Amino acid sequence: MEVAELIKQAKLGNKSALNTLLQQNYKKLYGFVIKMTTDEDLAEDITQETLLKAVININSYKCKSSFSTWLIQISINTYKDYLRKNRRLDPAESLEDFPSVENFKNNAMMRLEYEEAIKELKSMTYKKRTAFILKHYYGYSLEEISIIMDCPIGTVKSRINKCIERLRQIIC
Amino acid sequence: MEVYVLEKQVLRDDNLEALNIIKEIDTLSIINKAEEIMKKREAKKINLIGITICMLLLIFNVTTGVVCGVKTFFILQISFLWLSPILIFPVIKKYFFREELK
Repeated sequence: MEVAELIKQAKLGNKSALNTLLQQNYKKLYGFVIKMTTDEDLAEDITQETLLKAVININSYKCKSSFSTWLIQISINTYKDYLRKNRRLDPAESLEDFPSVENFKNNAMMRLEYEEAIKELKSMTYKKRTAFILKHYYGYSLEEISIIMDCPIGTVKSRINKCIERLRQIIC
Repeated sequence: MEVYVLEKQVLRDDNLEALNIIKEIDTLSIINKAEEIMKKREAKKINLIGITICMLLLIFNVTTGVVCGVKTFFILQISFLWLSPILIFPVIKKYFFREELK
């Protein structure tokens, strides 16, 4: 079944179509949320909440953007709410409390690299981080990012540039 | 741009999956949970509609009882008796013949 048909069926209340849609998109969403929150446990919670909101509000999806973009938009708003509720600008937990992963031995080097990369992302504010991730990992255009993040294109540009500047500083 | 490239590589979704960082999520249970939440919201809405209708009928009865005499009150009650089922029917229909997620 095509995505448009799946969405149509999901809107009509077809549970299996809805499940297929979520299954198709949740990995991209999870990957994005992990990079946005830089926290594995929080990412799991935000992803679940995002999917829950998406199912409840499926009828308000207008098909203007792709389904995954819509999910990303919901996840950003969910994370914003989380930060507001917890009165924090950004999570500041240390990276030391990363949970151990099974089958870790083979991937130890990669895991170290991952932690290093997450550490760098964490040093930026979530707004800059999110703009950077959307642009460089998911290939969204500046216009799309401005719609997703609900801010002007100029702001998106400056956020991304500041991120790159910061990364350059780290390298030098 | 070494760090930048490294970041792009290691944080790619397929790499995150290989590291077991992207965990499996039971989407079906999320759908079921959403269904429960929707049912609760629907029930709340129905209750609110029911309460509003009952309140309106009560206000109507009290007003007619106070303003008109007993005779007129009963005439009005009989005249408008057919109105109650019509008002309540959509609520009953929604409550008992609610569409479930297939």
